[in-house]
Amino acid sequence: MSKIDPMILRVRDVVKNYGGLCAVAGASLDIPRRTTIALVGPNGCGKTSLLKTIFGLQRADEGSIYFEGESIDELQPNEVFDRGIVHAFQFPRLFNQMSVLDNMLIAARGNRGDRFAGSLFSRKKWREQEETMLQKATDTLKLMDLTRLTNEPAGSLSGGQKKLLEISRAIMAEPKLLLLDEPAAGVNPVLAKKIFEKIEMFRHGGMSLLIIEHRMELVMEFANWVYVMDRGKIVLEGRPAEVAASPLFYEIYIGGEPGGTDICVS
Amino acid sequence: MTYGLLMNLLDMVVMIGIYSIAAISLNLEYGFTGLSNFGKVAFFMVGAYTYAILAQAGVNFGVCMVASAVSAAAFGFLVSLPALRLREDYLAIVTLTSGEILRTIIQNQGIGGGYNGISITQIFHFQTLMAIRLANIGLAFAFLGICFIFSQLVANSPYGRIMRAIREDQTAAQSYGKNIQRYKSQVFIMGSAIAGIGGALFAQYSAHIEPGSFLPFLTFTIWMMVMLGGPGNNLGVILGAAVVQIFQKSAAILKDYVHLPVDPINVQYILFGILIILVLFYRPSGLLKESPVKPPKLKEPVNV
Ligand SMILES: Nc1ncnc2c1ncn2[C@@H]1O[C@H](COP(=O)(O)OP(=O)(O)O)[C@@H](O)[C@H]1O
Ligand SMILES: [Mg+2]
Repeated sequence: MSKIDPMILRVRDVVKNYGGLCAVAGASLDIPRRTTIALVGPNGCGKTSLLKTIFGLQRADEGSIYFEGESIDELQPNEVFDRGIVHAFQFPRLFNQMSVLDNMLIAARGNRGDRFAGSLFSRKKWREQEETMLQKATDTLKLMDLTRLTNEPAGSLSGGQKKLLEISRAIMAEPKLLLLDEPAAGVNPVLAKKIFEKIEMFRHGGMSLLIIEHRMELVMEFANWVYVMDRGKIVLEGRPAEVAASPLFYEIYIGGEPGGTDICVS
Repeated sequence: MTYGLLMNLLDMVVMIGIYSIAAISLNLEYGFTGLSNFGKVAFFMVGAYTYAILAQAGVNFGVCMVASAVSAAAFGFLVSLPALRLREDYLAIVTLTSGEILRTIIQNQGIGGGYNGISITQIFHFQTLMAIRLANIGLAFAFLGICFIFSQLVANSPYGRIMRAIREDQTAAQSYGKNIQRYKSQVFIMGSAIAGIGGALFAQYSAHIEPGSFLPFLTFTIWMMVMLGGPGNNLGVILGAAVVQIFQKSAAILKDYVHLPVDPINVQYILFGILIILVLFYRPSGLLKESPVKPPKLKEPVNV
């Protein structure tokens, strides 16, 4: 595959087993550049496992993953990050004793002071760099309504605020491809919509997105394409409206009929 | 104040300087980066023996000091290779045993005088003990100053922020592009080098070292200094070193001056236990709290 791959990410027949449990059973998907792809499916169907495998947090047992045309199967998460993928955890993993601001600054790329020699001998340079990074961090925090908490320890935030910080931190890292695991879980519906609107703004900056999301109204509004996962396999894909209208989707998702219970397809 | 008491006090101050260096070294590893090194005494010992053997061979003081730091750093690098790849609790075990193994080897292979140890000519040749002790205070605190400034510069930089991030959640740090293996290895090397400097000063001051000078209790003492003073705070761990040292030495001094029905050394252990329990209960973050990485100045103030 060449560098001008129209797909920023290709996942091919990925299998991930945990002992005897097959969490991902041969999943394939493509993410075109500058699109938002939603990955939906019932709890425990393997969505998080697939995302972690893509990011290199765990090794696939079979299959391959290509980012911008190059295989990233063997890379460690920090190397995957260096290529341009950023992953926001389903359950926020913040640096709890560190301030909200420090959590943001950690995510900034290319700081000369990140290296041992640079931290001692390029002090002037990294101080300049940190000024720019600080500006970006405060702007992002402002957008996410976290300004007030800038100097608070991240561990003191509420559940919803932690989720917001997890996403802000990911955005701070300027990903080419952002992997978001249930960004709206645990936050109220109004805020959830706001989060998606904000993410959408960043997508206009050229970012691609793979989002795991349960709330179909958000998927309908923001996703360009939907993959439906069931028992470790991709069983259905299509435009949001097509997927939402599919009887198969209802069958696997809630075991019911279109128009049933709590799924909103307006 | 009697002359003897004064000499004891000066001795205590020298040892506070030397222990503070060891505490700063452990603080880089444990306080900032969360690496549980339970073999601190091993790196201290490598520095001490390197100094002693070279000084004995007539090598000049500056070279001896550099060599002590470098050899301890090299030993730290070697230990870090297997240890940092293992789970955290294994790091504690590997470091703990490395100290014991090293001590046993020195003792049984006759290195540096084997069981009997090695005597070192001191660098200060003044007429009075007082002048020698004062000079040693100056020497220890000069090196402490260098180690402190170095440690502060590293800890309060973006590099130090990454050290803390690794301590908080290493998977998250790795997910943000940090090569945690490299960072941990570097911190271990830095910490070992500083411990080596402390060990060299200890050898120089003691004028005689032997394997029995480097028992695991020394590691335990350094840990107490860090826990008591405040992990993640360089000033705090110096304060911790002072408190612990005053505690230990005053019991020994007391023994010569007061006649108690019990041995003050034993009383000291009991009081120490109580002190640690009190600190853990009422000030789990140590006497001084961790100071955050100073953020660069904002161009415009944050609207609160
Ligand atoms: N680290 C793990 N070890 C063992 N089993 C796991 C692990 N992570 C997930 N699983 C199991 O794999 C299946 C898929 O989990 P997950 O990918 O988290 O699902 P989803 O994100 O779709 O809800 C579940 O049955 C879950 O219990
Ligand atoms: Mg999940």
